[in-house]
Amino acid sequence: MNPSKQVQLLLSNLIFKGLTPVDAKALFGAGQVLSFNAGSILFSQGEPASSLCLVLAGAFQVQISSETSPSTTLATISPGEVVGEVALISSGRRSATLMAAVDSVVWMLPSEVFEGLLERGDPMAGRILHGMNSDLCRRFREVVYEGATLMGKLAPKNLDRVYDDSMRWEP
Amino acid sequence: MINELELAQIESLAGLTTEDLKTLAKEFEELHLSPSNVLIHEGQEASGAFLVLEGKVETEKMLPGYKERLLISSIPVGEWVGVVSLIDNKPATATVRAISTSRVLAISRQTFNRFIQGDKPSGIRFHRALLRSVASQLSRVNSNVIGLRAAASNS
Repeated sequence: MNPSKQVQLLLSNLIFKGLTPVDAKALFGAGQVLSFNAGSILFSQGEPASSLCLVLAGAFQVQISSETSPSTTLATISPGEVVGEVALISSGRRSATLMAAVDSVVWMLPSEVFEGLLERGDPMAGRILHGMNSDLCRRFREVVYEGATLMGKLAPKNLDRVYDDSMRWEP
Repeated sequence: MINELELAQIESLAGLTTEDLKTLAKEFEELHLSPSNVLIHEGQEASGAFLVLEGKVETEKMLPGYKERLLISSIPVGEWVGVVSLIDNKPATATVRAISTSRVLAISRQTFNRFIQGDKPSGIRFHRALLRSVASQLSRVNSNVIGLRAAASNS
């Protein structure tokens, strides 16, 4: 895929849609294009999150494991989709493992590049944050709904006020 | 009125400069709540975002499929509520109610929108602080939901 098609793919993602083509090209140049063989790992659940990745070609499986269940595949990420964007706003850990399902190519934007934009007060940083708004809120609403539904099923039926301080149901 | 020194102690505002905090201090309104005062009603758009400074504030979420069954959770001091509804302009997913006498900071919808629109660096950094708060709550609820899924499949 030639570089201008890759920049087009970047601009087609909701997060980067608000950028001008000139800004998108500059941002693309500040990241790295990396290849992954089928079966190799882009990042692992639990490791520090320090970059956003856009899939340029191929596909990645999203795998999550927990103490109670072995690794399960939750979704497949295709070209044009972004993973790990939360790394740009908080220094957390990866919530899932991403494994290449076939030979794949990604564009990786290190979070320090985004930090640099913020420090310089570059308007591009604001446009990227606006691009993140709707997806983050949608995911939040979905997971809150699922959690509340499960709590309704699991809590004793005689309770009409279920207290759960381990979960947050933030509007 | 709250000042930038007090704001600098709040972890969820990390990453903002002293100048940013001075500007924000002028935009925030400090509210003193009595027990049972409601800040946000489930199903209605939040009028603003709120940061709990002192006291006990809870969220009450109607459990899906039930008419009068609530899931209650307390909001830790230093955390934001109302941000999701403020950002996506959709109805709030829970009611937010003071349980004890409480002190909260409020930023109205109009002020928030004015502050994060445009390219002011202080607005961009504040926007990021709020998104970081949504992301950390998302991650916490997400990991709880993974546990609940496992519990539901075993029950």
